[in-house]
Amino acid sequence: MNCEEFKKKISIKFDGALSQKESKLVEEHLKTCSSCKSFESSLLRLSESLKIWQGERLPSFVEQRLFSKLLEKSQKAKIFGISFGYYKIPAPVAWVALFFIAIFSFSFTYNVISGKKESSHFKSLKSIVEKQKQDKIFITSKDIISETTSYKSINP
Amino acid sequence: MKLSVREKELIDNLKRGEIWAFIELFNSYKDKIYNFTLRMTQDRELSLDLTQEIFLKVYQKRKKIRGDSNFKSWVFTIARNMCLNALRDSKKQRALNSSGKEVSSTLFSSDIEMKSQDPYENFNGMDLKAKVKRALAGLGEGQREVLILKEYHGLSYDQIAQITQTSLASVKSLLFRARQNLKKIFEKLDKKEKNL
Repeated sequence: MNCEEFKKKISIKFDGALSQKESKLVEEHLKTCSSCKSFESSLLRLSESLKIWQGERLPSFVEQRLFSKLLEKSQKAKIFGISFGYYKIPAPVAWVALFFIAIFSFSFTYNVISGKKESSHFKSLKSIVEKQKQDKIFITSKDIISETTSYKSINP
Repeated sequence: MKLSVREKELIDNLKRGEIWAFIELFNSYKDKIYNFTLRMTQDRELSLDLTQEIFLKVYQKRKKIRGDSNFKSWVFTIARNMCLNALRDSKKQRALNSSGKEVSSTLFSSDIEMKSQDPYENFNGMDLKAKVKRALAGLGEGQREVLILKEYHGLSYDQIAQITQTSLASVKSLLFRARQNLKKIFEKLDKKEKNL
């Protein structure tokens, strides 16, 4: 091992991450190599020099800014997404569902208000009930099907 | 490094979106992250913005925290990536502006002769803290980040490898080279100071 490799090991040893076996090898080398010995002592000086730049506290306005931004984001999430306790419907799904609900509500309301004519299916069912009233007979589901089919063939 | 029971509890609650857990974790890490960004960028305004953005990201990505992973490493990974992105953006910005008027940037450059952040600091009679800042500025990003994580935050080689997304061998090698270069830069600065 050359001095460059020993210096690398010295750096690892300084961080306390060198194995015992390798540490012994390094220590043996340090006894005879002045360049490596000087590098070893410089590591401590460097570390101490770096500590001169001490940490600072985070100014409190950053904390206020962060939490107001978080609040803003959570309010936006409430507007654009639907939450059910822990579960949350993603905004796109919520918007699509809302769109279909709106279309359904609109067409239903429009039909009620404008008194639109009843659908053909509803008409056929109505005629069956009328017939039942007149004939005072019990009509089975088979009759309903045949009646609906015959109505549809008359009124396509 | 294993998580403490309290930290595990806080992380579980954070994942469920409990804001009190976020506040507690924020209070434990805010100064560490702020100082990391400050030492990486050496720009106070930028590091304040970055710290805010880092914690916003922590909250937004809370569900991605793995139960068995180290929260400290995870937060530092976000911080490190955001710092590097900010430094790259600033380099691009400076490159764009370099053809025009001079930009008074306080961010890093590989040139240790860069303009000091503090207008009252100059090379002549520079205090020790300014010398440390300037020496760190002389290191490349890779060497600087491992040195900061090791010397100021006391992280293990494994944690540094996880944060910097490199191998254990590269961490050891980067740290060794960072120390060697730092030694050279200090010597160079001392020499210049004596000449002035």
